[in-house]
Amino acid sequence: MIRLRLFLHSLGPIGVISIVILIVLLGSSLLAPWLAPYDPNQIRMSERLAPISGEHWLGTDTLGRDVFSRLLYGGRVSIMLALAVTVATMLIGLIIGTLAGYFGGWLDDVTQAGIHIFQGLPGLSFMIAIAGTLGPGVESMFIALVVTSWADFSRVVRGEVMKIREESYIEGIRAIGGNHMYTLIRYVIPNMIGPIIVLFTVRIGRVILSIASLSFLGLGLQPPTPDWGVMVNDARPFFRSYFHLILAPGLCIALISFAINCIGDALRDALDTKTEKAGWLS
Amino acid sequence: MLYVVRRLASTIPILIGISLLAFLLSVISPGDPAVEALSMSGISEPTEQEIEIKREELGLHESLPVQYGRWLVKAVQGDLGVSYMTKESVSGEIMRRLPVTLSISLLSVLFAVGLGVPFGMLMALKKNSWLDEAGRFLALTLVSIPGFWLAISLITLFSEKLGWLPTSGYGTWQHLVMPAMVLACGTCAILMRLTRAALMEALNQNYILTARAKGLREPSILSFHALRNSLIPLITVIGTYFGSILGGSVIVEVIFALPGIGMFAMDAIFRRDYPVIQGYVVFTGVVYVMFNLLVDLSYAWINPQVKLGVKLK
Amino acid sequence: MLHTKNRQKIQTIGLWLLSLCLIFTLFGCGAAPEPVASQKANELASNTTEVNPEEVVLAAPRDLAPGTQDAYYTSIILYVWEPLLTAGEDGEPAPKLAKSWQMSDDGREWTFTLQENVLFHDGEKLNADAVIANFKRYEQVSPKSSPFYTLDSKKSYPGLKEIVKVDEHTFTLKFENPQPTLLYAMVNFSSPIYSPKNFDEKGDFNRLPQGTGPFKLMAHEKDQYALLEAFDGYYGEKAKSKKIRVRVIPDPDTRLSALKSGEIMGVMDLGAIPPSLAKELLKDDRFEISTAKSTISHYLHPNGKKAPFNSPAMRKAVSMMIDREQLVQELYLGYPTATANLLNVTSPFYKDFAIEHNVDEAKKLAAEALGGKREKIDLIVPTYGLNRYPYKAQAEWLQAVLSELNLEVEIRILDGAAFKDAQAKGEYHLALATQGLPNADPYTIFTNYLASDGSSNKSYSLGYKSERVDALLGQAKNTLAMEERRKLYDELQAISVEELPTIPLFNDASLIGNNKKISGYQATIYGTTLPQLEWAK
Repeated sequence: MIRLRLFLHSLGPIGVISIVILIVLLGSSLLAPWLAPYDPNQIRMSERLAPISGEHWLGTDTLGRDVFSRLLYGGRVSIMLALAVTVATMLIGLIIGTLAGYFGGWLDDVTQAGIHIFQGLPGLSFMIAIAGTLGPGVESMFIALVVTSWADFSRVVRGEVMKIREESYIEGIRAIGGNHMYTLIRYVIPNMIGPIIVLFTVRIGRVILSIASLSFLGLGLQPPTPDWGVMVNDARPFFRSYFHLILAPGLCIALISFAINCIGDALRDALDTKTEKAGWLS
Repeated sequence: MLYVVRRLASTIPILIGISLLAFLLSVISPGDPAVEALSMSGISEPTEQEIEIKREELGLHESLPVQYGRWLVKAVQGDLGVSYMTKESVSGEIMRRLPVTLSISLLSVLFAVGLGVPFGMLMALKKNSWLDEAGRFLALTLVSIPGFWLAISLITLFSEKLGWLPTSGYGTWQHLVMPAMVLACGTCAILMRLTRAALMEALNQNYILTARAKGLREPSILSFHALRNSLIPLITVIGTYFGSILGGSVIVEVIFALPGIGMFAMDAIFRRDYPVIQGYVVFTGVVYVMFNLLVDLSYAWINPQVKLGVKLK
Repeated sequence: MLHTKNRQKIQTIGLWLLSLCLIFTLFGCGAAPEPVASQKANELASNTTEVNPEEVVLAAPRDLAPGTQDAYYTSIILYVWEPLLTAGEDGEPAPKLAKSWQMSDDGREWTFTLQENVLFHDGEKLNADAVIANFKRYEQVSPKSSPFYTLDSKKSYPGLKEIVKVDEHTFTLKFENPQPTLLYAMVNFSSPIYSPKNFDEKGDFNRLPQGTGPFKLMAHEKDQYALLEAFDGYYGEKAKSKKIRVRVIPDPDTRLSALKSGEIMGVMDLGAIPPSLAKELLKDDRFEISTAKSTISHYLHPNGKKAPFNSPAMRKAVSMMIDREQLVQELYLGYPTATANLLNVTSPFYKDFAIEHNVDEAKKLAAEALGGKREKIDLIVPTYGLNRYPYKAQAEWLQAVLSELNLEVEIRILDGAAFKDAQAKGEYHLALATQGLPNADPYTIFTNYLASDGSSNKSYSLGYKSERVDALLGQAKNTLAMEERRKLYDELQAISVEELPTIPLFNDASLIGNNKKISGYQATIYGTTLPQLEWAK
């Protein structure tokens, strides 16, 4: 309960707005099939680039598709993919980073080498190789994004663990007979929650942004999937005259990333045990 | 010192691993470099016979281990070979493009650190003030803007409308400002948040520990330690970030027409130009390994208790 | 209290570090490459306020001067080098460095007379020996790839036995077999001529290109710019601008911004300005655009090796279903011209065929061919097409159009190499593709696409086979009289329209844009009128 209150407190006015934004964006994505006034992929060549009107709230795109309907559908794939990628990345990164940082020695050497190899490789070549072998699409993007980001995560976790394991209380616990597993789960991991949550939320935002960037190269989500990143890209030739075409999806990406990050911040403050003990509220 | 030597030695298998993985990735990607080299113009398709001759010339008919081995032997002697497509020397091309990438990387690290760290500190020191709140808002905004969207907006505003900065190209510091801003954005925000979090943690930790164990330790040492400890995540982020943009940022380079390493690599990847991909990957590999070493050394410098990978007693 | 003291200390350290960082940043900004800065800043200022009278800056999507290892060093559109023969307005071969020619009666010998008083940029004279040196280089380096056209003398000059100097300005090419269409094959990229002292022992360039064109290449920085200067010793009408800098700006949107900011005066090369951006540019009355026919054709390749497009009826159905006029008008804003013909409109042998667009007939044909079932097919799109053309929108539009034929289209965007691989292995059903005209003689393109063992036919898995076509091609090869050939080519075009080995969509237009501060800058079939470019009065 204290944590919940703490969480609400640390949200602040921006945070409350963020939660509202997140609920609206997630809700509208989920309910898109019922909310959308048009089929998002219905092409009407006679209504190309229609302006904002009562009929088309955000006008139509270069193929006469209703932009508002596409916007409602546009978050679905990106958000799900971003969540899946980040969770997978975090799990892998947490396991590898913790083991390497805590035990050190040859285990650390081996994982460090692995981390280096994967960090040293350009993400784009992974993407192309994987898209090439599996065919472009959501699955290959998932694999490519996880493969290219687990190493960063592991590395930060490892750094944190290395710091924590030298703290005197960890040595104390070990001295009174706590085994490794116990020490890790009870003390080491909880002590990293702050930085991890910050990283996690930053990552989700980043993954949403990288999905958008991949579509810049044409290797992202395949058409005609309505997607915010793809929509921003498609609107590039027209944005000088039809600014809403690039603004609306761009704003959606920015808002969702903003909201997730903001909530993550608040979570961090609320979950961080040390901060709590410090009497943050006093 | 022994540690440094050991670490340097351990980079060799890493570089081999990177190049091997890159080689395998290139090979499993569908497409044939011989076809690519013969049909650069996209006007005519080569005949089977021509492809055969080209494959022979490029050494592609050899088995994969032989191909890789041959490359490795040359690479060890410092010869990264020539591009399949342009016949230009790979290392020469990388060195030619390095200043471009290096200058935007440096400038963007300066932007990110120069703005992120002081703001983060201010936020932590003036916790819960309007400043903290504003900084938080700024950080959240910075991290949420898609890079290419920002790039387009910056060009439209500063070049098209105001005429202050050139849209694209390389040559003067003005050319570097917008690309560096776009690259710095996300990392600047991360640094702000990490600095704030880390410093606050340090302050609080200090507070508790001092309260709990009055006089047991020298407070000034403690404070230094606390502050130093908080630098670890910062250095990690800065190090990896710098390393990663040295590998080139394709999108920024394409939009701002910067002939850097990222664009070079992307062309090579799209054309299955194996020697270039390999050379590029070895280059980024070396950069990574170097930065990693620096980061780890700085851990040790910041917190001497970290026993540099020596197993916990 | 101890902890407050501590806090203060940390605050002091913090503030100290903070100011250090800020100083660091300021210093960093100031320390960026200084020497060139002031000079370039002036340039920048003069670009935005008043035009620099010395230099005209243009931009292209790719590097037009790839360098010493390239087959040509620069693209022909920079006017640094000139070919023996060029293509006239009508697509027919026209004199350039060779001013006249004569074919022997058996078609085995061609004698060319060179333009006189032509100087290379390095001061060498153009004569028969110089041409012979160039032909030796062709032989030495062929096939030499280039992002423009592959230089391949074995294809342009098949069975060339020898080249003989007749006098200072005359030489003869001797062939094993009759070469009635030699002139068509020699146009532009097939007969580039450089100073004989311009090559190293491997046939690569040993320094900047020393051509005969109205512009000299003074300097170039790979993927950044090429700097041209008018060549005073040019034999013809001299270039009107003293200096032209062609910058490389790959992103079309950035190019438009650069135009609008006044940084560049015009754009050039393939995909210089996509149609939607051209429309945008025209909204600003400081700019104008210029169009010309282009050698690029856009096709929809069907995979003829597997169902459903192994059936000509199905290909016909798709062709009839597609409203090419709508495609051209809506997505390409009317600049290109719709066509049903495989052969590009710039070819002198091009024949116009009526475009059949009949939705009902298409549906009937498709229903018969598919047996009323709904078929899943995939349409592959190359990434390199995305920046130049509205290919994504085009693919999505096709998807909608073809779904009415009971074809459920899945779009896959592939990078260039994967795209070619999928085509070669036949792992696709439909593909968006562009084709440039290899040379003015349609024999090459017909052979590539229509012959049972044609290279394009094979590498795109078109699966086309027609005995009649093979016979016609064999006949064309040995026909000396041009009129006879024309008849054969007419029939080949008619067959291609009927049987659709590939489905032609439209002939592209070459489209360029420029600031009205410059004049004389027009699009041509392949390139621009660069030498006529000058500051507007």
